[in-house]
Amino acid sequence: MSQINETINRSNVRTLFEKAALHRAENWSEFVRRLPYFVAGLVLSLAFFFPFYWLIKVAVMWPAGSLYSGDPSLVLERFELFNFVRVYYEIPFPRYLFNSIVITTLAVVGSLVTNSLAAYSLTKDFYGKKLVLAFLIAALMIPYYVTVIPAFLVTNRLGLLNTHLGVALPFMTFIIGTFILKNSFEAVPDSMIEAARLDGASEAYILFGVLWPLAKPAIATNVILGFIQAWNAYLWPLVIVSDRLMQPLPLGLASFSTRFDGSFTLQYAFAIMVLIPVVIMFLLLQKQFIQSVVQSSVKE
Amino acid sequence: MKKQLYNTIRQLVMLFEALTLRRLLINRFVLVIVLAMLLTGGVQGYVSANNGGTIDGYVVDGNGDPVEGAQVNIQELGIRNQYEGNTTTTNEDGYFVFTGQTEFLEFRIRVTTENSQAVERHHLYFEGQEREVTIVLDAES
Repeated sequence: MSQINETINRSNVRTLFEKAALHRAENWSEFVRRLPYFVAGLVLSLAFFFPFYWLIKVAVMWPAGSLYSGDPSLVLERFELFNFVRVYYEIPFPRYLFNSIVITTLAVVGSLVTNSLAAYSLTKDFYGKKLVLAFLIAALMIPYYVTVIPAFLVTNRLGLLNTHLGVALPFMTFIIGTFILKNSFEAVPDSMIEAARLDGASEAYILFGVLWPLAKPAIATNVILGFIQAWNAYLWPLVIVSDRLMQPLPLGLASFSTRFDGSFTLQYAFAIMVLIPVVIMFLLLQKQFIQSVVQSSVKE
Repeated sequence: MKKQLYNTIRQLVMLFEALTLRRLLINRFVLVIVLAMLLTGGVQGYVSANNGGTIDGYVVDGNGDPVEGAQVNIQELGIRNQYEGNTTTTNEDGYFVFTGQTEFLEFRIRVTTENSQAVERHHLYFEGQEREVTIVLDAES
């Protein structure tokens, strides 16, 4: 199935590139025919890229007053990394980064394990399975904000306020991830699982030793979704973290923005510092992410 | 039940053993982390070796000749604050030096002589960075 999807995916992408590849035009009419595709693609990519360009442009401005003085310009006139240095010295950035990394790691590992266990059990037939599925889908309809107070009360009772585990706990499972893994596990032939069972494999081994290696794109999607969710979390840490040194990066960014209200160059620099790990993570896992999206959109 | 549990644990250990050290260590995630750590270590090492906090330089006139006896004032600039500065005087070579400036990130240097004045704004990339500046006094300044 993955091969078929890969072929479909590649051919779609290739068609787009073929249409836009001006340098491959064999004659003038072909060139003119392709030109609109190329221009449309260029305009769209510039439109999408512009907010990032502006973010970088403001973040590398120094002195900060140059943002307001003179005529506004789209051109990057001066490139200075000083704002990043200033941010680093003004706040305990390494501590915030450490908090974010620990919380995200706990959330990603926790969500992988719990989602896998839930997904594996949902691939089996058992009494009340449809009710459980309906319950999970119904749970998707509950707004996140409604769950904050009960989650706070539970975390408080567990004595996990102001701890990394307390922040990570609500992110240790998410229903979308469970369904992605369930779909992926269901695509594995039963004969393969039976063969593993006949060889004496336990259920845990079947899940982690047989199904996991076969569901890599789904696992990668789970990692990416879990990572983004935990990394960007703002409201939940705001509710349960009162110690400044336990704040993750988004909370640090918010308090920084309040503290240095109006210092856009510094705020933009900090926003880039928060954004970089997410971009790196996406770049490392983009192949699996795209594969997974394609797989989930085309059923065998 | 006990045997089943033992069997499960044994198989999970086998699964972990199948992840060889090579596969665990040599992958793009670990390489990115190692690269980041190496970069951070290198930067920290460079900062430790160059954080003496000396800011010095020369004051020259429009012809490039040293200006002796000019008043040089250095003032730390915060995000919203300006701090009280230190003042020194240039020697016969036009040279001035401020030592122990280990808490500066951004500063303003004001040079004043009897008939001219110059103001420059500078920044450092880490606290205590050693920096040399040359200030040119011209007729208009």
